[in-house]
Amino acid sequence: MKPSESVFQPELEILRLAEVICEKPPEQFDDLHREYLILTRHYAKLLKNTIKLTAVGDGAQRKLVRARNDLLQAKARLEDASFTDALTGVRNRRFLLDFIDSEVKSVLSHDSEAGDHNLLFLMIDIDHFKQVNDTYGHPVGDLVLVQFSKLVSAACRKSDTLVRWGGEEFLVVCRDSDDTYPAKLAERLRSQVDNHEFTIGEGRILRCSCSIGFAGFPFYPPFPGYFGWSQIIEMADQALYIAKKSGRNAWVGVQPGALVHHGETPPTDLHLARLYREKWVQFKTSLGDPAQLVF
Amino acid sequence: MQKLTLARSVDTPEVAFDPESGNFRLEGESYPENALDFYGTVFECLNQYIERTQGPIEAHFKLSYFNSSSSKCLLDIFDIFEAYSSVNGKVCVHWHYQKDDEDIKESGEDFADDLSLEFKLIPFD
Repeated sequence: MKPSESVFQPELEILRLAEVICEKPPEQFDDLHREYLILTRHYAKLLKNTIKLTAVGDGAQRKLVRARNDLLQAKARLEDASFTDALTGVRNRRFLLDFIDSEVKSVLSHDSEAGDHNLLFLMIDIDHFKQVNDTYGHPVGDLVLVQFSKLVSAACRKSDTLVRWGGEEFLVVCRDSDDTYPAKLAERLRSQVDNHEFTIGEGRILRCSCSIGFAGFPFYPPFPGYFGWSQIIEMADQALYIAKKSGRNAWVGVQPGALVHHGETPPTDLHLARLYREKWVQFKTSLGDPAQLVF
Repeated sequence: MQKLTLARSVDTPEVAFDPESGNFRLEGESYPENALDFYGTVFECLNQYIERTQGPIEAHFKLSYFNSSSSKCLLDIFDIFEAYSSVNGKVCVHWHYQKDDEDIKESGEDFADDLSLEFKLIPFD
């Protein structure tokens, strides 16, 4: 912006005036003194205005910073709300979709030989939940869901993430678990739910059980590309339904088979019964002998 | 002398001056790219008014945000009012601020400091 177009045009004119006086000062002391007094008055005013402008400018900046902070906080609150299930307060499916890619990338970037770098997906479903809703009504169903999610959450490690997958189905995502953790966690969840007394108001108590299916990513650690994370969730879900068909109040874990298929890749259409028959997978279950499982 | 009316835009406030009543109003947000382009017209109008008449000026400022260049222009408007006041023109400044907006209130106090004008800080809901 040219000085002539600036909001400081009046001040620039005074400067030019001062420069003219300096170039050709009045010869008489009184004339010089008068000019000096005028310039001093202008300087005093300029200083006063500078002080005011600085104070007002600081105020405007404070206001903008405050507005920005308010917006950031509101954004964080909205983001948190959009990732949270309103009823149970646990994370929702959107949260999983948002963080899963970076988790998978992190797992794959680690050397599989160096420690446990994996993701365990554990799908849990409350048995006969429809009956709870039908018999006692949805408000009681909601009470059960809230207590159930608290129970599951307390049984998990802090680093595990509990997601309400939909309805009465929950998903636990566990990072870097060792070989024994999946079955231990599944059994802990199964028995704690089985032994829990759900309070449903008016002094009434309800007993529930749950069924669990789980599988880990990468499924075959030497071949992490064989099944993607969403296929592992699908596997856990199918295992959960095998647990249901096999009598409920049970868990079924899917583990890699003996890998006798040298040079072959597993079928992409996920059908656990077939994968089991063709020995791509094997099962571990709370029911004892996997041969007793019902598909 | 004609009324001055500048409609509000994204970065400039609404300005209205009625030479009949001496009522001046500046309302909105002010952060124009070239402040002098916008406020030049306002200076011109007010200077014309104080040269031609001896009527009172009731000035209302109701700003929610203004940048530094606009602050300088507000100082220049107060300068014009002070000049008018020094030759016995009657001027009253009303600085309106939203009740919980401490920043705008404080900027009003900063402007009012050492100003030889009647300057009222008026909160609104």
